Amino acid sequence: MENWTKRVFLIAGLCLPLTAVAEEDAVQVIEPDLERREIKTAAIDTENFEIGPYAGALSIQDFNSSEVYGLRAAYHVTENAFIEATYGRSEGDLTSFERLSGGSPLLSDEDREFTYYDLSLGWNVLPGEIFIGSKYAFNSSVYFLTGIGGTEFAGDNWFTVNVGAGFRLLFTDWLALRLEVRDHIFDRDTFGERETAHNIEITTGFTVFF
Amino acid sequence: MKLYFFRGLLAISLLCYSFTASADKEKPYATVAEAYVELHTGPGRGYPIFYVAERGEKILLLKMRTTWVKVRTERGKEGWVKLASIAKTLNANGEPITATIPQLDLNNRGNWEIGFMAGDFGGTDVVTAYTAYHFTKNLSLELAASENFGNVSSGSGATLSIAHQPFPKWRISPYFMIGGGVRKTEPRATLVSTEDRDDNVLAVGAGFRIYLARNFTARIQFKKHTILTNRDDDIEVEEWKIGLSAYF
Repeated sequence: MENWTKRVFLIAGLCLPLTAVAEEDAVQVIEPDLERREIKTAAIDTENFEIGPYAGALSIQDFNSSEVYGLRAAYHVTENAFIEATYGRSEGDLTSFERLSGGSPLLSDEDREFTYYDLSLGWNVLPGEIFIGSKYAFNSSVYFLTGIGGTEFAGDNWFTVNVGAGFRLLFTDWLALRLEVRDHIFDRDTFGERETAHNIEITTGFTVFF
Repeated sequence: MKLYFFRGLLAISLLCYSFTASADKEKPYATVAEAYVELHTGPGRGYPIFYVAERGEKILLLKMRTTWVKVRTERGKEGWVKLASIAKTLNANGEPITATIPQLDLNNRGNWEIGFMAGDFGGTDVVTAYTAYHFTKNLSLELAASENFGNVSSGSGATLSIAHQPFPKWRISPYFMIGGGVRKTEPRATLVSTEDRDDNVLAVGAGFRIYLARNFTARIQFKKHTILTNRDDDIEVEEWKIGLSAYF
């Protein structure tokens, strides 16, 4: 036990002068005559997000065509690929049967509301330039889209696959016009039997890159 | 209910982006260190080259889209250059710009991940959107919103998970995750109506990230959910999914 305490004191005694020497060495003799450049944390605006509203017509199978409004947000991953989320709203009209029979409607007004969301992968297949007159050239691209999502219609939610193609015309680096055709496909049993419903949509809208 | 989750996710990811974007509006200058740099008319490999900037020429870095940088030369020419073609270009302090500007670093994936998946949730179709923040190359926190569509019942839910990726440099890299959340089960409208149920959920999972590009991965994931019902037995559900992720 006594040995231990001795040893501790010995070690402490050894360390003290060492640290004192180290502190003396740290004193700076010459001040460097050097003007440091101010380093700014550099940043570049990345413009990979694209958002915007759209409007168009949606043909809901058996329930006529009506206007559709929506919002889209995309992230451009590479010059070819982008991922896109869309959310749209429309309303199913009367079926031909409801019109002709004159009976009570098959669906309530609330169930006639058609809302959907899509999560899609887009691919710019034909990038290019569009010439207007001899003075103006605008970048453009034709793209394909495919994805998955959900549709709420006729009182239920349906797993929905979407496929489409579109055209993007860039007026400036950050402002674009989009024209698109998409099919929202889901299996439904609204009329008792299971069937595949195709709901084709034609839309146009502006998007902003940021 | 389901849309609430997706909108929330989107809002969060957009918010985080705007914070980073507004941090510094100053445009960095750089000096071309390569023999020459080609300026394209658009941010894509097919767009024509209309100007060539030579070594020593000063360029202003204006903005970036995917792997293309919009630059302005001293002579006032504006065009797009491929990021890889200016990898050696120097900043005002003589350092390569790709090493000092995080967005230009070809090895930097970014800390945020967004993506979506589809698959099978206990025999029903399922769609998931998620956003994750990577604290380190190994550790991430992930918020996921799901909706599943079945013949008997549908449902939606959200889970918050911690994921660990032990080998982040592998091209096909495994990960493990554990988390918890909430779930709403809604019986189908065409069937006898029973009440909607809200339950808590615990989930453990594992999967692979398959790197397709620097900031783009495919994901395959298996998860086991334990739905903590207020009945006698908890429900266990197995889930298989495949999806795509982008990093920024």
